[in-house]
Amino acid sequence: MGSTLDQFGSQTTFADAGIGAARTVWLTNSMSIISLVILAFVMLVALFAWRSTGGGRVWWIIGGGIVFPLITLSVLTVASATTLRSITGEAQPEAPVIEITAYQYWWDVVHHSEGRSLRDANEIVLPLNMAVTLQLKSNDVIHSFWVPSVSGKMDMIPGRINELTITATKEGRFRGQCAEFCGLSHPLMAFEVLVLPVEEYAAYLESLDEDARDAVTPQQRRGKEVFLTSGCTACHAVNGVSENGRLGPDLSRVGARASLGAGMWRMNRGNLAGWIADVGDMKPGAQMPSYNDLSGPDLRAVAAWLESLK
Amino acid sequence: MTAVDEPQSYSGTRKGEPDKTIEEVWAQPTGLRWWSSVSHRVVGKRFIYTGFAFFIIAGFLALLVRTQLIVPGNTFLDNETYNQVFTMHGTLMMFLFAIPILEGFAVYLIPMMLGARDLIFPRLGQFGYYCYLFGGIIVLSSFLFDAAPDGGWFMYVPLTTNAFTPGVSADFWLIGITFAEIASVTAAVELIVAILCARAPGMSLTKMPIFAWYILITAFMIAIGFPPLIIGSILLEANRLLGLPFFDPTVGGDPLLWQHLFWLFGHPEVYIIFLPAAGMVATILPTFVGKPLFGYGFVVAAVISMGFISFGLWAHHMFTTGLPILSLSLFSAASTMVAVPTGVQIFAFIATLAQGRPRMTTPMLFVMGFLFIFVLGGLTGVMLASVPFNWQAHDSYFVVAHLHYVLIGGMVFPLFAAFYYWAPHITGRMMSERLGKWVFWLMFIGFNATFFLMHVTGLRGMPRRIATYPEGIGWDRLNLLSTLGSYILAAGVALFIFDFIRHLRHGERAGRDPWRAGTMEWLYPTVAIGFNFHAIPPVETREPLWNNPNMLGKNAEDVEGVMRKMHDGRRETIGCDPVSGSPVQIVRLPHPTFTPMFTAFALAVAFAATIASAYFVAIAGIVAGLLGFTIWAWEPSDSGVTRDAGMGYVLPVNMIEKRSHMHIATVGTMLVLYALLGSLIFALLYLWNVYPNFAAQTAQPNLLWTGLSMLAGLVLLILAMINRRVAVADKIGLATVMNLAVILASIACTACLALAIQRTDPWGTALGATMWATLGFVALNLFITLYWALFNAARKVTGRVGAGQSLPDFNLATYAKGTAVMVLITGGLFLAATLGGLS
Amino acid sequence: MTALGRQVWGLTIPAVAWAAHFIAIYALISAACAPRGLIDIPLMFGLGIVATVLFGIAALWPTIRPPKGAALTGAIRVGGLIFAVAILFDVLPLIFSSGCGG
Repeated sequence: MGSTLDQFGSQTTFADAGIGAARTVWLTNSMSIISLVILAFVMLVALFAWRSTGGGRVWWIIGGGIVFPLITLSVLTVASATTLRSITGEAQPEAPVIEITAYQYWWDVVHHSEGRSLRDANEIVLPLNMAVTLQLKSNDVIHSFWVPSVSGKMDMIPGRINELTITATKEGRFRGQCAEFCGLSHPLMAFEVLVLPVEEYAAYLESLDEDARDAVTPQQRRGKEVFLTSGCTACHAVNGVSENGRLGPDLSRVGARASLGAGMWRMNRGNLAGWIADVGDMKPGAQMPSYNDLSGPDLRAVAAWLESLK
Repeated sequence: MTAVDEPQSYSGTRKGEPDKTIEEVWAQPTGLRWWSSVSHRVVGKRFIYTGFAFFIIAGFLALLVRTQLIVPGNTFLDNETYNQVFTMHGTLMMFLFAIPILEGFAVYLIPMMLGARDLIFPRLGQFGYYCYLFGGIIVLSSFLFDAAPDGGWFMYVPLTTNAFTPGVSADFWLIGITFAEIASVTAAVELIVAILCARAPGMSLTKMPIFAWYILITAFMIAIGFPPLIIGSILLEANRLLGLPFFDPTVGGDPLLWQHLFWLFGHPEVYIIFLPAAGMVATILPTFVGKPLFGYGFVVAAVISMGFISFGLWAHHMFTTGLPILSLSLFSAASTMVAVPTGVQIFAFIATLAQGRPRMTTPMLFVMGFLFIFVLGGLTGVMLASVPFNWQAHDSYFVVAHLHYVLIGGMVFPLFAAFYYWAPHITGRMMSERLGKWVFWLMFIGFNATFFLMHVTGLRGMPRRIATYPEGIGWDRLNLLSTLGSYILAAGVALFIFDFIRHLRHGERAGRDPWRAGTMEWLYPTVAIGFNFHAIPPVETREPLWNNPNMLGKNAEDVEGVMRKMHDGRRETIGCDPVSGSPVQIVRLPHPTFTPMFTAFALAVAFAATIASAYFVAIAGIVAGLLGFTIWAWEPSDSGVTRDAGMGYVLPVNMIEKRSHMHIATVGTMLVLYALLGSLIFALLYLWNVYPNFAAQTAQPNLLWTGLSMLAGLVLLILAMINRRVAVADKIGLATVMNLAVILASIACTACLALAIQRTDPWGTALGATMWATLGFVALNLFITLYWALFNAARKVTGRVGAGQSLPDFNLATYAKGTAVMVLITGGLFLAATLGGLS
Repeated sequence: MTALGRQVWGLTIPAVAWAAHFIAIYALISAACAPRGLIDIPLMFGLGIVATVLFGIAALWPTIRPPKGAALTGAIRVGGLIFAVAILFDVLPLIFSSGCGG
């Protein structure tokens, strides 16, 4: 299984691609080092005690068990509270709002911009160096939104809207993944975050507002026809083609995404065809039925049309 | 009442067998009747062996998990199987291995360490074991039906509700685990009473071996910590069977309610597992140093504070659920505080090391391994208390590493130290020191190779509970090495099993007190008599075998003590004052019986039938179980006589007062019941507070009936008090009448409470459902009061109760008073809802 | 009551004081921060301080004046100290926060 982002470190917390991640990483590093030092110290004391026969002292217990932990914990509490405040203090009332709803096992993404609700799925585009408020919701079970390189995680719980403010500080693609066990295909519920400069982000938003690209080739036209007649529209929306399907991911610009199946497979015609014909095998438990009764040419046509939607 | 040499026989008293020797009276049943044994040695060993079997099964599942993760995109297990495997691994380890095996050690060791001939409620021990065994079998059998639970050991809703987990897999978990938990809770009450009420003469609380303190605090924690999960499981099962919407946000329920209840149990659980193991360390360490534990008082204070403080950190498992930052800060600060009592214990252990020249034996190796691993696990635990770090590390492999450091370091390593240390006590032979060192190093190296790397894997972004992972994003080599490490760890455990089997035949024979320990379980030669003590020696110090030259200086059966000359032909031991340890009574103990086994089996049938939706069978099982309890309790009373126990102690048999072991057990049971009620009240307040609009939609209780229910509760309270007085005054006829009055008051309480909320629709809102659940719980207690009063009345009417035998009414009164206060609390809540309105 | 009995109480009281204090703080935060907002932030803060002073004194009392009897005095002192510190730590978030958002 090759992820679209099979590049080393695309999902690591040791990163500075976002304010949350960058301000936590020094906490991680310093706490790790201090922990190892304390461990070494305790083991040295134990070794010393092993060799000594002079008897224990009460001040060891008071000093090592009470005073030392209290000092360390006070420092930790202050450091941790300061970091926490510096991360959550980023929240701004006028920040752009992105509403992300988790489904078993994909992500519905709605960008709220200038009174418009612009829908996309499975790929989250963020503006560079701009605080964004994510409104995290769930349609079914509990999921958790986590892009380790950009920010810490936040759960998506039915009946609640959890807000998470994140600021991406590096251009590029980063992998995110559902971090709360959500059922059969929990390991196959990932996504990609694409961080763009503000102008390109604005252009991206505009592209969401436009109708999907028209079918050009005969094969693409055939694909569109199959899409319209095979029941796909009951769940999937394509701007300007069929806009009522809401149960599955929005496909208006599916071909522009780097990945297929919620951050899992490379976007290409072959994978698209394989997906349509055999969802149940690629992602067990997904709601979409496998269209294995489509004829070979029809299947290739749908895949070709979807791939062209950019 | 006067002291008599010969047992007085009068109506109802079970005749002793004075012509039998003490060995014959305590003889273990043989053949098929072996299963009827109630001896703490037998029951304790069964707990230990069964627990170890679950450890092996769960360990095998862990190897499947590691094998699946050895390479990216592995197809060794499919998603469904993987989810079942990791769910069952966690479930078996936490519920069917860790707690039961530690309780098994406590059941086995506590009476011998404290100077009792048997555990205080031998039948309850047998009942608890069979509940555990049958519960475990129910959970395991899900594999046979291809319905193994796959919702994670934490069973988060709504994933585990009918909508997302149809079928019976979640029911297997909820019902099987709840059943096994009943065993844990009964064992906890039994251990509390055994430690408080059956110690050697003169063993005050401050002279108890430290292990007893650890077990005492752990038992209290189980009594309070398990009820939230029991309530949570019952609510979830009621959701699955009846559709009651406790967790449904569309009608004012909340998935987070489950998480609160689960972690209210789940966090203390970690300390419930750690404390007995630390108690083993605190017992083993002084033996090999040759000096007493340093800072006994500090350790006692640390254990008590850990027992309490660990209840205040549950929400640090919920840092990413969107709780207010202020709540997060509270739980973050509270979480770090648990490091203080931990540090006190660790440094007390280290100070103990400095007292003498430690001997490097296999148990000591494991103790040192515990120190290394557990300290690191504790430090990463402190890291996780930091909120921003937690947002990254939560539900990643960092947490997997942390929790295994804490649990394997804090529990499994001490447990293996205990295996090596107490194996000669159980089998009479020594395990191999040479192989033992191999076992240790294989386990130590394998463990660290497996789990140290996981800290890094997690921080590189790998979430938990994923069956596969993509290649090339930085997890491949770490996972490969972790998997290889797990095989080394498994090889260590396999070598241990080989050594254990080998030593049964070929191990060197252990002499008396082979490790030169100071605690009393080593007084007798290994594999000794089943009743622990011919005479129970007075104890002046914490290490009697070190300080009292008489103890090891002569044959164990010649050591002087109380009860030597008693020949009542009954199993009996000495009962003490809970604080001072001075003898206050003779406790008569039951003989081998199948009744508890039958009762546990009947309940197992009821539980299994519920899974199979065979409700008539389930009802039959419950009725049979009730019958079992009735037969169990329908035995002749022993109280009312006084006996000479020797050494100047003339003591009543099964005395009737507040310090009676039966009464303390009743109070302990009330503690569990109040923890259950407290969990329900938490749920009520939580739902009311979180969803005001749905609270407003819930019909208010009726004012008249609420007032009447409180009045009825008050009447029940007063009647229970009167019942105790007339019973203790031996007015048997009047006490029977009072029993009947208590029955009527119980019925009145139930009826008034039900009528008070008759307009509240349990399916309408989650709050309404929880109100009915609370009512159901209180009604269940009222039913038990009713049944108990009926039972006591029936015994009196049939002439089974003589003068000075009012202990059952004495205890019933305490139970009825506790129930009456529950009615008053529930009525008070309803009253507040009526007067203040729910909106 | 025996001297040892009083000492056992000396062990228990700080523990109960800590538990009561923790429940009080948790309840205050829940009351102030849930949608219902039963009490406002200054009141939460005030009540939290009152609870801390009350229960803090209760927790420290046996440490300052341990009940007579030598057996458990050390344990009482250490226990009381641990619980008192824990009480103090539990109230810090209230003191250093301006509201539910931290």
